[in-house]
Amino acid sequence: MARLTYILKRILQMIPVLFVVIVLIFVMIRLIPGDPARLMLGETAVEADVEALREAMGLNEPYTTQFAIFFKNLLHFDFGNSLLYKTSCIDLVKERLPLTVSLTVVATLFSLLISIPLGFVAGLHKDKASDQAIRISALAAISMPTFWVGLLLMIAFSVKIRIFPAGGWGTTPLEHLQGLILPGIAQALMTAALLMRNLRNSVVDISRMDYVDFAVSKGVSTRRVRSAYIMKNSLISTITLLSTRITYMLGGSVVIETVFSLPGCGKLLVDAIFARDYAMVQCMVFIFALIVLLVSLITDIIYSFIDPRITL
Amino acid sequence: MKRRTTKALSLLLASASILALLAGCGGGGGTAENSNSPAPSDSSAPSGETTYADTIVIGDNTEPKNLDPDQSWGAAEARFSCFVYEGLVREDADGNIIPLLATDWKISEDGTVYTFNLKPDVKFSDGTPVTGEDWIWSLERARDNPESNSRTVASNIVSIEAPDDATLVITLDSPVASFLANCCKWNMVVKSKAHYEAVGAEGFLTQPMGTGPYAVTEWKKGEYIQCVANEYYHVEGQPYTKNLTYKIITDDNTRLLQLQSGDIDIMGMVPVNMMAQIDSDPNLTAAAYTGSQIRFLVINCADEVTGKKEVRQALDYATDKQAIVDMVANGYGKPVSTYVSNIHGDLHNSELADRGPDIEKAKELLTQAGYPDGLTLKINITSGNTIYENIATVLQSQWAAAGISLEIEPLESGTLVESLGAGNYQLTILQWTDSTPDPSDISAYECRYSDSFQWYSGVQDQEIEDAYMATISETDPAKRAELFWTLQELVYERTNIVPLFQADWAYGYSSKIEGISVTPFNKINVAELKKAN
Repeated sequence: MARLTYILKRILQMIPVLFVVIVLIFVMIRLIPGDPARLMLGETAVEADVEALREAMGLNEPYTTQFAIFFKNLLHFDFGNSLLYKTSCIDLVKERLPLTVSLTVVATLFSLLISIPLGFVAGLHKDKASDQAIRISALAAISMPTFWVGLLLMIAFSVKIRIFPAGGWGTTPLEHLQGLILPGIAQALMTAALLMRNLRNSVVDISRMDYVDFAVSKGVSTRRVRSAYIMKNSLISTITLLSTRITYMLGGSVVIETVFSLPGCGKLLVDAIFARDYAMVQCMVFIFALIVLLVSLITDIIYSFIDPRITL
Repeated sequence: MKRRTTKALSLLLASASILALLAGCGGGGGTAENSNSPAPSDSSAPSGETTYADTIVIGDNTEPKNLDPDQSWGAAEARFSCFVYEGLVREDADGNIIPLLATDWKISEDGTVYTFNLKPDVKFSDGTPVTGEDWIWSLERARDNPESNSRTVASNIVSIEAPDDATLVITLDSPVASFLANCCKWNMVVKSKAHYEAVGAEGFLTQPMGTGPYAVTEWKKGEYIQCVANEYYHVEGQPYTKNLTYKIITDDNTRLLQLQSGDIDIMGMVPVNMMAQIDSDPNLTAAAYTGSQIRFLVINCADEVTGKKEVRQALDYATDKQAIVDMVANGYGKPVSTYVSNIHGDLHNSELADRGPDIEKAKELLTQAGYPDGLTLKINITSGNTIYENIATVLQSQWAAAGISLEIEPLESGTLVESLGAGNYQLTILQWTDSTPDPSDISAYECRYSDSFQWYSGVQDQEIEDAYMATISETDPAKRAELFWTLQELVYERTNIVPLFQADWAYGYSSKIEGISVTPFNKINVAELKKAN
């Protein structure tokens, strides 16, 4: 019950945050030099046509009027039409959001699959050969740029050994999954390395705690010490790190999406910014902000399950 | 301890095997016909006979924003639209105007009335016949739709009449010598009025209906546009290939990988430094086609320093254009000395020659201008554009020999365009690609102050503007050529732009492809494409 109230309270708190985000992005995107009408018609278009288009797009109105119109439509979840694509922004985003979110989910899963076992092994066998090997590979993974890893994976597994498709997403859910594996791994590498280091340090710290010593001397089996005492406690800081990394992966998806030709949101946002597509940028930033807030809410809820000391 | 490690290892092993299972399912990327592309597989051949595939996949780097010719379009849209839409005339591989939906035409004495005889029995891809009403509606829309950025080609049209379905009479408000060339533009095509009324303005953006060799069946935004052969196409037997997939792969490296793995058959917009790699692959062919894309050094004539003609000409003298072609375009192009491309035949002034490289003369001019010890200049270029960056770097090293120190400042494209409009720059690099087989477009841009500040020069040169205005209505070809030659001499003398080089269109395609050709405006002749099995 308390949890439910907490969730509701947090959702209500999101509203003022989102409002501030909206105002900020509205102002910032218009402050950047560059006129959407001119960019749409191209460098080689005549001044008269550019002016006519500005008028038609409603860009000559005062900012307050533009914001009033925008806010009124926002309440109906209507972000207006994209200046570039001429269709409803929210529809365009709805088409592409599933891919970006799936990619982030797949990447998160891969990073957990890689980092949790390896982090534990490294932490429990501190300073032994396995620990050194794992830490060195973590360093290597952090040093490699994502797009380069992506290209290497594509060359190895799509061209030389033809297991995965060379980019693209396919049509059926199975093809979707296949298309997301290589990008997911490329995207996950850095996060996996960071999580692994964090988890390893956590495990090392917790292993030295008094209560672990006490449990061992009490005669608790090694297996139970590891799962109940060490594992649960070390995960907390790792989960915090994971939540910030998810935000980063969501925003940084454009690089992987470009390399693997995935029709996701990242590229949509970057193109919109370059074209000064005000409506689209506002829509996407709002949605990303919403997702980030939701992710942080979910993280807080997970804390409450893992750590009984935390009451919501 | 052992069990912990075993558990971790088994977890890793389990995930690896799931991955392998997934990869194995559905064949993955194993076959040449990738399961990700929605193409039916090709037919098998009895031995001895060449049979052809029923699908060809073209890979391009930019997705069209929409498929309505009367919107703001750019090169990406124009490249695709010729598969679906056609007009009265078109350009051939040498840049000449040839008939398409019009078989022949007559121009009145005073040059204001064009009478076109239309090809009979032409149908849209849904089987409905093309009527005079479709032509009238299409061309009026090309002239009037406010969202279009190509209205000027039709702005002189006063009236369009179709006395019968085989004749079209277009009356202009004054003689416009480039009108026939203007009819090659991407918006001067025939669209189905009935279809527009059925799908509405928004539907028309994604569901085109034209007379071209292919019709769009599916558009998966960000991935591909699927096209099927127009069964009512007006050229017997064409298109040769039943299905065409237009795949959008933004990253150049990924596009090349897909070409090498056979996922795409034709790769467009190949970066010139990849051509050698494609050439050395026995399964691929690298081909370059003459293009109309010219890159220019653009100079601000209102600036204190670059406003001096001697300085501008000195820059031209200090430039070695052939070296730029070799280093930036890998030899895929040629230096040019005048802004009118040589694809425009007689209108191109072939007597004007490159000034450079002549470092001594450059230094002499600089001394005359008051800079005997050299000077520092700044060039602003669009950031992220490798070609512009390379050109700027080469110019920097070439000009250093003449005592000119060049600062290179990249700017984001939106910001750059604003600075140019405000006259807030000294030098920049821009490009122009002709989209009609007549130099009137580029001349208007260079010579009409109200259009573009005379290519951002910031100072109105009335002589050049008047010389340009004279070419608009001169219908006699010999006299018009003379006027254009004079105009080019004036621009050459003024040197507010220095044409650098004309680039080829670089393509890579599977060696199984037959019958491919590309016009100077970068349009592939898809109707004649075949891919051997």
